Amino acid sequence: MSDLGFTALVIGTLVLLVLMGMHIAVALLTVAFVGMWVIRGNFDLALQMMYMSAYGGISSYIFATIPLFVLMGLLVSISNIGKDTFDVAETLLRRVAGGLGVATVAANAVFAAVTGVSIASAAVFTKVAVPEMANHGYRKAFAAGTVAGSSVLGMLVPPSLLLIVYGVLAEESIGKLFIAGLIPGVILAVGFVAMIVLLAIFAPRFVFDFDRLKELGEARRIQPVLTGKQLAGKSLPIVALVLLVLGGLYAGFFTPTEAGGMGAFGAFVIALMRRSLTPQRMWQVLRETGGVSISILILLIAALFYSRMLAMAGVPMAISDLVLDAGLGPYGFLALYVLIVLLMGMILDSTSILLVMIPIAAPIATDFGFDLIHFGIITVIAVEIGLLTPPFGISIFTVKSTLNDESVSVESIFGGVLPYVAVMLFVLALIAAFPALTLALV
Amino acid sequence: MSITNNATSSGVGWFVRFADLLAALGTFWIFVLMTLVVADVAGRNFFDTPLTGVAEFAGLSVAAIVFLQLGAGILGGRMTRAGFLIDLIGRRLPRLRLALDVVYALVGCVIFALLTYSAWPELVQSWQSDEFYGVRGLYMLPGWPFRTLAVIGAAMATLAYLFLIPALLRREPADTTRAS
Repeated sequence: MSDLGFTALVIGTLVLLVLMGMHIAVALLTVAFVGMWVIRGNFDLALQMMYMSAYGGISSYIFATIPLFVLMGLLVSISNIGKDTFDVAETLLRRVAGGLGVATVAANAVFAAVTGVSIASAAVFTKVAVPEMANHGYRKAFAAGTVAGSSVLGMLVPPSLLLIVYGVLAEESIGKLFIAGLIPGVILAVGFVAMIVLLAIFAPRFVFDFDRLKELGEARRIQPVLTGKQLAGKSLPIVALVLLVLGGLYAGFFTPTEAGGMGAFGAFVIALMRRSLTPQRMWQVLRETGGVSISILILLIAALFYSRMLAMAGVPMAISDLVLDAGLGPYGFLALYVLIVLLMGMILDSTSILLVMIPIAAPIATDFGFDLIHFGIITVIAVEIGLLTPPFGISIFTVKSTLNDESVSVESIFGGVLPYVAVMLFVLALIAAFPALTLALV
Repeated sequence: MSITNNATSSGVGWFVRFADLLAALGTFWIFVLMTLVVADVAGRNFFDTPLTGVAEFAGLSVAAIVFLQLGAGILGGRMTRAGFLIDLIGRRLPRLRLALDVVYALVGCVIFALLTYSAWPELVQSWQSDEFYGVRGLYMLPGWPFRTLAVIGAAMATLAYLFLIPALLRREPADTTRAS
């Protein structure tokens, strides 16, 4: 069979199985196993290679970051740090148009620096920010859309589980990826803020519920304002944690794994000091950490095996030749790639998209002269857009199920999040056009 | 696809409990890993006595954590899937969905059985050759306990997929709850 025919068969089978709802890890392992068996005509070799991916491949120092950062994120989520961050932002931004929306974005951006999962941010801020915004006359759909939209910062601002997964698959330094995510994260947050302020001034009907505003009347203007001492008390833990993790990484003081360990320990100490940690709760947090970690790690094992099979079959080469022959040019390829990722984002979760795409796309991107760190940030933003688009916008579903409010439909949240998707597309184009935005600090 | 909830009423209660026990060990291991990493950083910077071998142990820990939690992860519905199409199918043709789910569980069972089969000779070899990680004389971690966990974990995954099948068949065909 020709390389291209085989390539089409392997990728086609995988996509079909995944679409039809087979467990993604099982689909990857099975396709990779059969593929390798067919290529080499050697059953024992396929067995050996599978074991090597499952045992040797996963026994890597850098993978230890995953359970550690998951633990840190969960500990931070239960110790009310999210609410405190929001309270501080609310007080500081109370005079800005659309101030509560801006506060949600700002709190999310800071919170993102201590958690690596968008879903965690979405769940925490749905409980904290949406009721507060609704009380102040914001449309609930806009409030929910704001939470879902700004939660994507969790995956871009380091530490980020998606960047870890990408780094593993593309064989890039995770420390460098973390640093490269900083500027785009800030640009995205600034873009969100600008959009909220503009909407609040020029299209207030999209942001506010005017009937509710009238009801609230003057009561709305009298807001509890935190004193300086309260502000300091509420911001100290998160500032300390951000400095510990990001500062340690950026100064080259910690490896990513050490940053994860120290961050988890810092979050543990904070949770203990706030007495939000009974032994039972600690055990629950650890069990959840294990559950989340295993679901990512088993996917990684399967993807490692799959990508070895692809490399052995020469699939990236075959596709690379095809793309080069098509005369697309680097940006044509990038546009096509982003389009495919966006389409996949409609049906798959973020990690799975990376697992399926990166082993094929990373070698081609290198051939086209892209820096793989730049390419990674582009990929993560594109994948994150998928979290917000129907029909499988997982962030939207998280917000909806956490909110548990009949009057806010999934459709209306998708509507509320649209402006955020527009900003993300804009930032994506900006970063694609100016690699320096990602590479300046690296 | 969680069967942990109604497991006590079925004959696989013992298996679920064993998977939970292994997962608890893996859970505890994560905490130990965090403690070791912190101790290493503290020792290196404040007491000038780094813990040797933490990096190597951390790497091996990842494999151990995965294999300890694999069985419980499969039973507890932690395996990621794209539920979109299969939920649609489940609403229109519940029997087709059931058939697909059974086939998927069978495939999972076979692939993890192959992994178990490939892990066994590696354990035997590790035991016979006194395999170790680290640097001889400085610090040494025996290889066989980790290789044993690989065999146990892969076998647990095989059985977990096998036991999903009767759980699926017992479930009402009209039940279209999301599996993931």
